[in-house]
Amino acid sequence: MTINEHLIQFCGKPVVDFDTNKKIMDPQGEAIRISLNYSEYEDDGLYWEDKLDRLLADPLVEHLESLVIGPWEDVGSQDTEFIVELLVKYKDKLCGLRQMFFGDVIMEESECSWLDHGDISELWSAFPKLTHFAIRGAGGLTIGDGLGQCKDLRSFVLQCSGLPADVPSDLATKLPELEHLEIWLGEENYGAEYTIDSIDRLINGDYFPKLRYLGLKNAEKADEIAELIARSKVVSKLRVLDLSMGTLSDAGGEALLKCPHLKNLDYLDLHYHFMSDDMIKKFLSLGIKVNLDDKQEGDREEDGTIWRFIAVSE
Amino acid sequence: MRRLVWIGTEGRRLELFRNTLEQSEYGQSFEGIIVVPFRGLIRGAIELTDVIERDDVVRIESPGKDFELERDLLRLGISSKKSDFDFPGALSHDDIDALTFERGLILSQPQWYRGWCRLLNLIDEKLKTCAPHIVMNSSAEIETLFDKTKCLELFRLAEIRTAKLLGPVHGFNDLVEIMDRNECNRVFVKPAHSSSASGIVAFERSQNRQLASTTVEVVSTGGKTSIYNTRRVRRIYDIQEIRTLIDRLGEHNLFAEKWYPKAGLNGKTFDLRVVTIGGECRHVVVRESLTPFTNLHLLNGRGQLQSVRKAMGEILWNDVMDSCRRVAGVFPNCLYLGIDVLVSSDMRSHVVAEANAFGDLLPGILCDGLSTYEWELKAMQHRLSKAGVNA
Repeated sequence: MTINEHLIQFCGKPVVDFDTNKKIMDPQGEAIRISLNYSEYEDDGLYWEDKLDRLLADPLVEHLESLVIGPWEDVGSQDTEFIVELLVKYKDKLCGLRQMFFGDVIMEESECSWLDHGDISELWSAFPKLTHFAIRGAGGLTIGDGLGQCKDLRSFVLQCSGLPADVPSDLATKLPELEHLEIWLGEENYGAEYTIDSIDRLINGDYFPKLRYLGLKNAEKADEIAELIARSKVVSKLRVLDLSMGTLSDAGGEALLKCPHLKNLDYLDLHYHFMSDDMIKKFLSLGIKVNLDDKQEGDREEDGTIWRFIAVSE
Repeated sequence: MRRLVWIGTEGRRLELFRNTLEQSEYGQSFEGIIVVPFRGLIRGAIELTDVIERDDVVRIESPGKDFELERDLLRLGISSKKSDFDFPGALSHDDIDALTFERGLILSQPQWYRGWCRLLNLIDEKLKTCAPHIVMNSSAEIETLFDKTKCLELFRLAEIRTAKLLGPVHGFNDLVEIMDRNECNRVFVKPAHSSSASGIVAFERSQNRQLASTTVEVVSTGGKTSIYNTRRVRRIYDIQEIRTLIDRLGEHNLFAEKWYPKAGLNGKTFDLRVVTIGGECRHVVVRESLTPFTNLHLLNGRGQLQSVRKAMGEILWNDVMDSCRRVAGVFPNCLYLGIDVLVSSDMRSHVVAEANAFGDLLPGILCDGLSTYEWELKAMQHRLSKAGVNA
């Protein structure tokens, strides 16, 4: 499966493309997407930077709260360091920014696993007032050790099909307001190099005192993640646990059920999984709201090997 | 009462058309269908001048998937010039005689196209000597519609938006060179004369990887490599496999265009098939897919038209309809066309991907309560009454 459509909403706000004729109408109420489409590039000779320039010229730009970064020229081959540089350069004009989605790119524009970002660490000192940050794609991604400067950060989301090795330790920094932490772990074929230990240290290191939602999604190692969750104290303070979109099987399900805190959750999201009907019944009898939709069967080879694929791979 | 002369093959299309003629009020002025099989014309067993009577309506149909007809067209496509035998994949009389039916096997498309054009020319020549009649879609325009690169050029001249045409591709080296020259890393590679997703490859590359998605299967046995159309999308990562694929497809009048990123809705990528009849946009079908190929007939779902239209907004929707009317204007001698439109991934723009001479086979899809065939008959009546001919 792949991601096939652009964001319609971000942080509860409708996403509006910043067209040639577009003005910022409601800088707090709508999210503006800066993206470059085919005809703007091919027919009009525009670049992503030109689109940003138009936004910067808008009289209301300093009040803009929410920015979505859509496809840029040659997305999938060119990384986004140039976008980071531009945003940092114009940080004073973009001083109102609180919410940022980096890389609203769909399969028709680039395979998710081909999305390269590079070093985005400069963003944290340039935009220390960010409350929501989301990024799609993790190719060459460096978060750096400065994320802790964003003291107001309430939500951090990384959607990818292969989590690089350094990301968990870079995220392991004191974020006093963080309520929502969502990381797509992915699979080795698509660049996943993280270790279970690094995830353990991240979620159990007391970095996020206000954490209410934890998502460890799209994981090839979903069963191991389930085992880790079962022995993690962090679950006791969560309202929502999301282990969806991965290759969770009965082994992981069994392990997860041993977690003493599951019953205290408001919601457990396990949709897109490989568990049996018996295991599904056990989760349904927990007495909490559980999403077990989109049951997968796996591809069985002639020699009996079963291949299980994560939801978003390439 | 008048007669409808069906030049084509027997099969599902004929059956559906005959049903419409018999059951619809718009078929009541026809007394029946006279079927003229392509193969009879090719062999000279049927003379159109003997068949066609004054005021007949003539419908030239799709050559479809008739293997014997395919062989006849390949034979017709053999050039009298010896040099033309030199192109890769060309088949001689002996080769064609020895062919047996294999599902999906892709045979020389340049040769097939030449044969198809010769058949269309033959029909055209014969029709000129027949009693006065009316043709639904003219053979000359059908010929053009089977040349995708030519169509793209005509569209461009008519200021209709299209994806960027990069040029012909004879093999993988060509493709790489074209992509380098155009600084382009994502392309669709298509045979100029095929229909639907047949023979199409979506190819993308970056610094250290490449991926070809395609329904074509390459089969090598005993030193011989054959290519087959299938309905399953394969993802090929190995560069040697991709090279073989493109080299083999390169024998079939392949061309490359820059990949136009298509819009998605409700988790699926989609495009639009718009049928124009008598120059007006009538039936619209949303074709959905989880792969880059939205034009895989049958297997793809038909999306919800109203939700797509709402998501596109009326301005873009009207732009799309306007483009389709312009395409119809490029082919004034075609009563009906099936036009494929790609909506950009941000739903702010669109391009016309192609137009199909036989793109009106949409059973069960209605516009104002009428099927495509009913609309065609209605438009035909209108055209006849305007011309002052008794219907």
